[in-house]
Amino acid sequence: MMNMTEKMLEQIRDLFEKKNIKLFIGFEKGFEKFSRIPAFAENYDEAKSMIIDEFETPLLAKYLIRELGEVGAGAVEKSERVGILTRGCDYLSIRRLVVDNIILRENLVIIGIPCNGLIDPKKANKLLGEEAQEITVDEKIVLAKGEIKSREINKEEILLDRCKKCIMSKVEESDILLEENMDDMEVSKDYSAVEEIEKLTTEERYEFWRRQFDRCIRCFACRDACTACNCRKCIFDITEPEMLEKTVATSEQFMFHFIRAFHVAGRCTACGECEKVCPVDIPLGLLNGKFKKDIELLFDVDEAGIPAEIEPLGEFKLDDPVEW
Amino acid sequence: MDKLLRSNVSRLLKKLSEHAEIYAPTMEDGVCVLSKLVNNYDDWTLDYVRTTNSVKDIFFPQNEEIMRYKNANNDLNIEPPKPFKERVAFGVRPCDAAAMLLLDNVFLEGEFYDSYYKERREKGALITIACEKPDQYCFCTSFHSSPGATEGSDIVLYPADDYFLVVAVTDKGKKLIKANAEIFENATEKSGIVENYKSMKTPIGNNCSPGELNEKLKNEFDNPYWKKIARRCLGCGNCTFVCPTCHCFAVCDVARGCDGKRTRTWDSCKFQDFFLMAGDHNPRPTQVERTRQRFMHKLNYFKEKYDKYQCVGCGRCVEKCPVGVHIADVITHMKEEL
Repeated sequence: MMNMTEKMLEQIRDLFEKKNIKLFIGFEKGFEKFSRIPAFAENYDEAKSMIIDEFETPLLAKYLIRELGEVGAGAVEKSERVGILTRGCDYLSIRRLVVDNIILRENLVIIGIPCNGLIDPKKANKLLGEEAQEITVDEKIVLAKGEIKSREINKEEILLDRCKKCIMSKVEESDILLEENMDDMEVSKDYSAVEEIEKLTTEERYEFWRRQFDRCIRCFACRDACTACNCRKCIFDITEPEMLEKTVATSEQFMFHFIRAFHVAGRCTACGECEKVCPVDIPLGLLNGKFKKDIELLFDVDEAGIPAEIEPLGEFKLDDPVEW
Repeated sequence: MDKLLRSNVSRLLKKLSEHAEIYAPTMEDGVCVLSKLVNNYDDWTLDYVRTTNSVKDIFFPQNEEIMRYKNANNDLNIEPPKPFKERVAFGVRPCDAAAMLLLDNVFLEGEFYDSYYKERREKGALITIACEKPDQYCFCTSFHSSPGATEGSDIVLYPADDYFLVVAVTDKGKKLIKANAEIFENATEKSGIVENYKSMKTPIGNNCSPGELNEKLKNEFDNPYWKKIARRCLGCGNCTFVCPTCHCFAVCDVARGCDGKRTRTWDSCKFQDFFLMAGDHNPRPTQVERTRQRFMHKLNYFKEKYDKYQCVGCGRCVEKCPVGVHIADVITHMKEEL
């Protein structure tokens, strides 16, 4: 039986042979043993190093903006298509770009793979107490071997943080599905962390966020990794007039983080990438989560942020119950 | 040789705080940052491989006020910044201390020097702690350093059981120990411990030592490899801001009416507006040029100018890069290819 990587490669070869795509975006091994990094192939030979496994990967959807060009700003010809390896989180991000009219769906060939959570090798190292040399995954049990020790770990324990909050484990609209989607993964809506913050007094809450934001080094990784952050020109990159001082004062930190959170409110697909890429571990998911929770409550929707033609904050109603 | 009991560290920091600002690794919401201790001299931790921010922050802060100005009724009044306080950084890693020497090259060498940086450096002392457990991102040994190296430090502490062996590296370090002699104790142990730290290997080892790579890179401005890695780069400034040797900055005025302040802030070659010029011309229009700039600066230009590579192998950029752009990867690849 072919494994998933082989199945993918077969499909990629087919796509290139039939000249269906000009580029395929997937993953390959990085410098470190368990790092999996984005890979770009313009022909089948370049794609041969690509791999599918269960280690932590970044999201790929954001690259589509650069690779395809935005709709209305020199987007590629309809015949030029890009293939992309897609898990549920990436699928939502791609939907986000399509719904926001940044890219066109017909320019994509989506190769979907089922996913029941990725492994964070750092967590495995921590539990093992040394750097793992070998990590093998067998359904729900992970065997991590180091030079000295080896240990069986529950996959749950070393799941990537963002996978624990996953709201979409399958790819609904794939052009090619490598393996059948799994049965619906149990999606538990857990706002307990947000509720903890809500319980604080205004002063305590301010103090909490001040501490978090003051750590921010303004690298903009949260913005650059986010697919909902798809403005052609980001307000924070505008130098004249300068919307955000380069000074890293508390007031400016609040300004940056609030504007960022407000700007993706209702469009955040809860992929958790912003939180993951933050070098100083600011819990941005709490801010995004608060917006998500409020929107779900106020607008009576099941899951805020799922890209759709009509979205709670993207729709105008003449008979809106609340005055402007 | 002296030794310092671990249980005496807080006492030492408290004593030093009488004359100086104290910076030490502290845990903040699960993140280890090098931060200023104020009345909490027990809050330091040893539970880190590297602090998230480097020691660069203390001598070349992310933003600093260069001056304040006021122009009321055409009467211009300029206020320089207040003199800096003495400062002691405790718990620095050897790689970070070595990085300070590279920043010294930039800010202190030559005809002009940077007065703000100079004052901070003169008033600063580095107490380094040798690394007990380098992790998979560490590659200081590729840059002629080691987990026990002393370059750039004033004092190096070598962890042993419940104490540190103390090695004073500079006169400043010796004076500091002398002035606080009652906190240190005589150590009778042989210095085998120190040698062990100095010969310790890092996981990446010295496989990615650049050697003479700078010479070879001179002709590689148009190497397609830059395009390959830049394609992955998201364009955030993460790698440059956590780097202990990156030193590009911007100067900007923040003014309200006639009152204002001039500040210096870090800037990053990874940002799209970093090289943006008047008239909207950008000589580094895409991530390809920007990515190339970062690596060429570290592995070629800096070496040409100061005869050192501008990397100490601290591993921050490679740990923090969200998409696995890895300087050791670049070095290894280029060495193989060229």
